[in-house]
Amino acid sequence: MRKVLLTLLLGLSLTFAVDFKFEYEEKIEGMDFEDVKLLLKTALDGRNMNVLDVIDVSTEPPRFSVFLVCNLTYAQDILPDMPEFGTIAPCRIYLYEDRDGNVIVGYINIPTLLKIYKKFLDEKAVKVFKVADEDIKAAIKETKGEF
Amino acid sequence: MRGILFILGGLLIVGALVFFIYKNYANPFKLMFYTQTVQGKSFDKVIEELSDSLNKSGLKLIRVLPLSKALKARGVKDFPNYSMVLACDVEGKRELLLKVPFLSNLIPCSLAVYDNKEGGVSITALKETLFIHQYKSKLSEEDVKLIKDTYSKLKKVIEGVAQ
Repeated sequence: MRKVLLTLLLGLSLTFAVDFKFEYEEKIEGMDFEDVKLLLKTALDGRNMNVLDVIDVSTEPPRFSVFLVCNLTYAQDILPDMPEFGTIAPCRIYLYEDRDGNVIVGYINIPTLLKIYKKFLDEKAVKVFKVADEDIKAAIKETKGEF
Repeated sequence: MRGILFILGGLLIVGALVFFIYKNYANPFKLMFYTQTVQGKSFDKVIEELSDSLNKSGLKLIRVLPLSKALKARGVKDFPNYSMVLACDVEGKRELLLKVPFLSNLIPCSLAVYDNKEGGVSITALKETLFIHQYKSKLSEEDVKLIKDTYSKLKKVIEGVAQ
């Protein structure tokens, strides 16, 4: 009986989940992939979003890399009450070349995360998530040369 | 008339059941995360066993990020033991991630290992089901199999350490 209920629940929840966009992506045009990597890393470091590691998934076109990014202060504020969120940490910021040679930068859609978990988060945690989102978006903007 | 009433009655029952399930079980933590609790082992022992077991299972360990140690080095007191274990550096990830880049949140995988409030150690991983469903239109059968096989092995590793 429990299995039936859980299956039904999963089905219903997945139906609702389909409406959520899990990723946030931006296109960077007219720049080489390696240049974007370097500039984005510098921009993230400048906002205390430390790039702990870079996983180069594909070094041949289409190139694909994943930054593992962490801000210790954000982790300190969120993880004691919601330790599960460590499973989406370090934050994955991925970059890949699309068919037209543009570079797409993406990461988890934080507004979606907030929508799903809002009733479990206190004001401080919500603020931390929003600031993290702003920091990453600002770093992408800086990479594009938009200040 | 009887038929209509029967259908309406059925819909009412289904609606009530759905509402009951949603109210009591629709916890996004349960949908998104898989957690096992380890009793009787120290935090460091859990990390050691997990690291060893991941490599033996073909879920190649990438690194362990000792978050609580880093915070303590900064002067943060009273932060519970906490590490993130990065693993699941599996064959086939290139093809999968080029199709659905967002799945870099699943592969490689992050395990959260932490002292829980009950005095034990918990190990948490993401549940892959939600993401497979979300991106099913972009994934081949082989892609789905890769994700499911990886996470099935991962759960076995976690359960093995938790025993």
